[in-house]
Amino acid sequence: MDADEFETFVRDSAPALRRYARAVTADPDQAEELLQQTYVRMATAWHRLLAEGGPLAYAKVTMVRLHVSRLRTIVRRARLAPAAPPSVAADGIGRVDDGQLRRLLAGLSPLQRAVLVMTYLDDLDDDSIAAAIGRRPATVRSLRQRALGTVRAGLPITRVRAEREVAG
Amino acid sequence: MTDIRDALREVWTADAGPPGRDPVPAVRARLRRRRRVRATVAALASCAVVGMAVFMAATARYGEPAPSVAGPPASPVAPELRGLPPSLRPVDATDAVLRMARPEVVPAGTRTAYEGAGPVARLVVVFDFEAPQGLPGTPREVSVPTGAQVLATDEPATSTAYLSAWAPDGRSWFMAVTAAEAEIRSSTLDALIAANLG
Repeated sequence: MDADEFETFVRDSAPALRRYARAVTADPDQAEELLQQTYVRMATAWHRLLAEGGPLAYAKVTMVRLHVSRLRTIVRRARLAPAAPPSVAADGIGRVDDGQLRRLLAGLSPLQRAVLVMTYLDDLDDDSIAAAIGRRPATVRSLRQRALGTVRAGLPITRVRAEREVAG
Repeated sequence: MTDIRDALREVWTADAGPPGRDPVPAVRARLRRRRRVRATVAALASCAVVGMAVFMAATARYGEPAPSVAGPPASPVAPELRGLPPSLRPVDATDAVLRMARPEVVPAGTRTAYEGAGPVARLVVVFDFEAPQGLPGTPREVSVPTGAQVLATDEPATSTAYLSAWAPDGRSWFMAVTAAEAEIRSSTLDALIAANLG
């Protein structure tokens, strides 16, 4: 039965897609909402997805598209109070903690965060990311550079230096 | 692999949020709600279409012209008058009636009037007149064949010949012809009877 297959897919993919949704949204509540919306969207196209294969990849792209959609951005802005600026490491020394990095990621725009997730978690190239978020590859590169700049600015000096040395 | 990429992956793969519930019941509920909304929208759309169709059918039905019925038309527009002496021209009916020697005998109704400098000085016609009344003057015989019931008189004192007629189509006519010669009056009136009530 198709319904049983779909529910099996939901149960099997939920842990991975929930982590992905939390990475994309940087907010557990928003991630749960996004996860359910993604499954509902998939349910309406389940026959086609089965025929084409790769429902997990489809789910990730759908999730990103839902999250960066203009309407959703407007609703999110209306619901949320003005976000506090990400806290910067006080002494700039030592290993960055997870909480600090999470706050930095939460301070990014949805598009910047989506580009980082698709770049570093999915290992997608710029063309694929551009197709997923409906922007040009050059825009994707620009978004990634700005996002990385924000994150680096908030990281301790030693960690940034190490990252620059590896990159340079 | 850069250090920042490692840090990002570490953050994203670590399960930092509250433990997730089984999403199946919530997804089922959302799908049911979605189906209900779609069914409601479809029902509303169907109602709108049916309502529009009924409205259009009703509008078309009441928009058709009413079937013709026997009897005089409701419109006060005067029918075309035939057999008019060529020397006469249309004039204001009220003024023409007031210029008559006996304006009081002209009944109310749809009035038209003509005046000219020829042998016939004035012709006043009232269509569908109200309160038919007797005519001044002496009754005279109408020689022209007509399907209408007619009453014709002539009054030499005012140089006017009168006619009241009730046509088979339900309309009624009043005419007053003013001319100096009695023969002209009667011949003009006869011509009008033949042309319009024959």
